[in-house]
Amino acid sequence: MSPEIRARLEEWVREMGPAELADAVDSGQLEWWMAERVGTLEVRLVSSELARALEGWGAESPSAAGERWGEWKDGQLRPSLEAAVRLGGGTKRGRIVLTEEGAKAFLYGRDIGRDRIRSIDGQLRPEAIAIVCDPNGDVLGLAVLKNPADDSRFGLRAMKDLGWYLREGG
Amino acid sequence: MSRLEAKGFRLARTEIPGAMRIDEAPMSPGATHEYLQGRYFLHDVSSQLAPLALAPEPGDRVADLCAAPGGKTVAIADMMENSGAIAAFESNPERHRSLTANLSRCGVLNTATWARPGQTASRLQEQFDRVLLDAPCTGEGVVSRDPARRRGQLREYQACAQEQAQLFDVAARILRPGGILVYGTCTLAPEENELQVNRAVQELGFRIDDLPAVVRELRLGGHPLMPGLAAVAGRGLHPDMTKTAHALPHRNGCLGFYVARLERVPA
Repeated sequence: MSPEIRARLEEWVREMGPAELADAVDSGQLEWWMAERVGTLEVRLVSSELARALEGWGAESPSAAGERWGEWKDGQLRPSLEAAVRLGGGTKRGRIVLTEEGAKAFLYGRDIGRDRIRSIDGQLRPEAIAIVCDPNGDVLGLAVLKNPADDSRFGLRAMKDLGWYLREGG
Repeated sequence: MSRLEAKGFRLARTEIPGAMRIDEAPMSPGATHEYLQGRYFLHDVSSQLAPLALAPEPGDRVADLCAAPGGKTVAIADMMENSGAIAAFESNPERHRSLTANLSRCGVLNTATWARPGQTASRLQEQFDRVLLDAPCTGEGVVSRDPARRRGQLREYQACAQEQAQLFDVAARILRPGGILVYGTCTLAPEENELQVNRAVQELGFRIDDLPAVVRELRLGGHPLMPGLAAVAGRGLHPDMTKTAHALPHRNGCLGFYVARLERVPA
């Protein structure tokens, strides 16, 4: 992994994530692992001991390893559902909280109407990727915040939600 | 636990550490937020026997040769406190997808998966500390839940027994001397259980180890597990075969499962 990508990922975790996670990455307890997929670089977070083992198993690249954190494209990380769950548990930044009805609809992969949004982190800009939570603050997934000037009744465009594990994950 | 109880679930502790029994569920336990957040895994109590018998330790290197859908892999990763390394194999692409989804859902960080048969594990050129071989089988032990699992044809037994023997051969190659192999199936047939273990002892350099006390002393449905058969069709097997164990549906109130713990004899 290039030092530039590593530095950007670590900065991102420090900015967004719970302190324990940033500490685990800083101390080398957890490491980034990247795999080339068609047209993109997949970023994964693995235990340091798995990273060492993967070096030894190098010629036999796995289908998956550790936790998928997203794709690196155009100098940015497009975060995965797993990254959202792990990051969202420890931060209020970049979060949108839904009503109960909104949370249920979101877990079916639906876009969310403005009336079902309880609160939005004021720092979030339109078209930003947001971490979506239920009223208890539990992370449900990722969505794009729509522009308030947009006259659509929807305030959030769904990207990925935990219901995916049931619909697609098997 | 308290979050599920607040939703109206009635849960009870079991003899197995960390495992709860669902006595009453106001909704599908596989569709709660807590399930989707990876706070628990759903499987039959007998499925816990294999990880408990394996008893992995933090820092171990473990191979799971037939890993999907991942309940046992998640349990092993949990027992290893997400440290060490697990190499998990699953040849069926759909089941491999289930495996990776479950590992992701449960936040497992120490596992790499390969969408290919466990028979290819020796390509990693690793000498593992522990190997779990939860082998493909005729599934007699789960017929009560899924009658389609078994058609009762002789060729099914022959095909399964042949694949189990191949996987045993691989396990013998990838396990370090002194390493631990746990063999399990969800079937009752001795051709897929005791006879496979007997061959491993006679031909592959294994010895049968005691199951850990947590498994040996377990009482499911009020009864202990049944010891493995010492003889089949009048043919005596290795005397230590009684150290292996069966969970039986009619006796233990769970799905059927066979478990054996073996040590690769140091050269």
